[in-house]
Amino acid sequence: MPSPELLAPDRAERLLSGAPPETAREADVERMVRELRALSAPAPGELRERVRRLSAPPSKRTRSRLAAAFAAAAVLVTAVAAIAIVGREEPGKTAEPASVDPPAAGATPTTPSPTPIPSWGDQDSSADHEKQPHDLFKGAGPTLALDSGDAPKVRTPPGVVTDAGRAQDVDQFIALRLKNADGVSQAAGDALRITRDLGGVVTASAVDTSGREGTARLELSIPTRRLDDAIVRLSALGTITEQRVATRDLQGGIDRRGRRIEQLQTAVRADELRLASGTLDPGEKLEVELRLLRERGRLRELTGERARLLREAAYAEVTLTLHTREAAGAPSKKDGIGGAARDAVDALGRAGEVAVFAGILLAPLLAVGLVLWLALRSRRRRADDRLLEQPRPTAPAGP
Amino acid sequence: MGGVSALATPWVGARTGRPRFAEAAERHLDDVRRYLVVFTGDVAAADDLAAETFERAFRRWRRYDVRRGPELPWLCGIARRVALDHFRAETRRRRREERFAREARPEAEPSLAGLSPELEDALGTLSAGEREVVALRVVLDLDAEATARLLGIGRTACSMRLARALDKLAERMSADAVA
Repeated sequence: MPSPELLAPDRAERLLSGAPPETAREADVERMVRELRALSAPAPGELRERVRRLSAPPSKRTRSRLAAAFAAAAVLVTAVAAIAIVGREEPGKTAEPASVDPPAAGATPTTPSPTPIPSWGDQDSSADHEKQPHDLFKGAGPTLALDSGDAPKVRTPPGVVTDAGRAQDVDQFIALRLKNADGVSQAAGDALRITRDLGGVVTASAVDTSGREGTARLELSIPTRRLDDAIVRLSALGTITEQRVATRDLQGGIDRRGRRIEQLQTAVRADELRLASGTLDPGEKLEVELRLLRERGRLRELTGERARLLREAAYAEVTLTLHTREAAGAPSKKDGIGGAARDAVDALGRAGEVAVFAGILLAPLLAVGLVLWLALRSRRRRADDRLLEQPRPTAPAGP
Repeated sequence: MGGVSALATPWVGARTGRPRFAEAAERHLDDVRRYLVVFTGDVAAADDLAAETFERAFRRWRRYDVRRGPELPWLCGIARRVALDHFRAETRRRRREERFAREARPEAEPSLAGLSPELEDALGTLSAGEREVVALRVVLDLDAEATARLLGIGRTACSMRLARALDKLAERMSADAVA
């Protein structure tokens, strides 16, 4: 049974609020409360000064340092933004840089050199494919820069990497945009004429026009030594929207076969002399005849292979497409603010994707972390409660 | 000094409604120190803890939201955490010292100016938690709601703890008087 003297919680609250005591115990409590409320414990001067210094305004030097730091950060951000904007492509430039496709599988890697393919100006355009291989790879002459109203400036065949004196297989792709279907038809005719002028042949052509739209695809075989001129003249027919070039070195294969051919020719002559000498017995004669047969057969094979390589090197394959619309994948025009806004929206979209991915990845870890934190917090509270149950939490343990 | 009603704290109506830290510190420094003196029972430690309390409060001043209550309970909450950190650190230090059998530091005798020796002795018999509720409800005159929130307990539990503490004090003082 509780003691009648014990103070009830609601009575304690009323006493604190100023209610008159009703029992002796309550009177004692009221006296204690008055005494406690009168407790004077003003902070000493040192403590007061220490607290005042916390909220002192920063010194001028600190303020100027802060201002300088902010100014530097603002300049840095502005510079980065300016570089990002200026670095983007401006409208109006039509000379699309050509991309160089990697060489075909099995090809000998080429070594680019500044020496371009011989330019237009070597007037000999007749039957180039009949010439000896080395005639087709003369030293380079001056390049021709064509500068017409609508044509892009092309000083060397963009992206065509050649090595002077080496036989190479060159494949070139050009896409041009024309204003309308009539332009496509006209340009296709011009391209065929240019090809014939340069001593080339048209291996395939397809022209399709419908209303104002039209496309054409021409596959041209042009003497390699006239490729430079061909690119310049063909590019001038329209606006370049795409350009690619692939080269494959053939010289190594040609040289190897040439050396083997010489070896075989020497061996064939030697065996023919042996047979003609009449000093061989029947067995030796048969052996030499069989060997001669093999050598001549191999000689024919190698000669044919070498000739094929030379024919490949002699002509470059040019695929020309003409169209009236932007080619797929061509970069869109970027005008200043609109382009920047699009880029910003794209960047935000990508940032959102990254955030969602990170969120899904981190969610289980966050959940585990939260549970651990709650457990630690609960443990700490229990430890604090145990501390607060002692009269002197900092006192040493009893004996 | 004197009782501070939790509902009548004057403050400067700035743009965000939050007073300047310097003014709040000046206004409540003595209150916080009194709370720490009664809570820890150690006047010397209370000064250091009061300084640390206001240092932490200064760093967090921007996070103080006047809509959630007046400054004094907020400051006392920080002071409480500072004091608990102090208790834990001292407990660990004591354990290390006991392990290496060093001489224990002589216990600081509380010297609470204005209190009778009997009341001072009686306060010393309370647990730190009981002294804390006495400091908040009686010495600083905070209301039950704010005190319960600060201690992280319910209002009823807070009143019961107070009643128990006052009972113990009265019991002790009666016993001293009889003696």
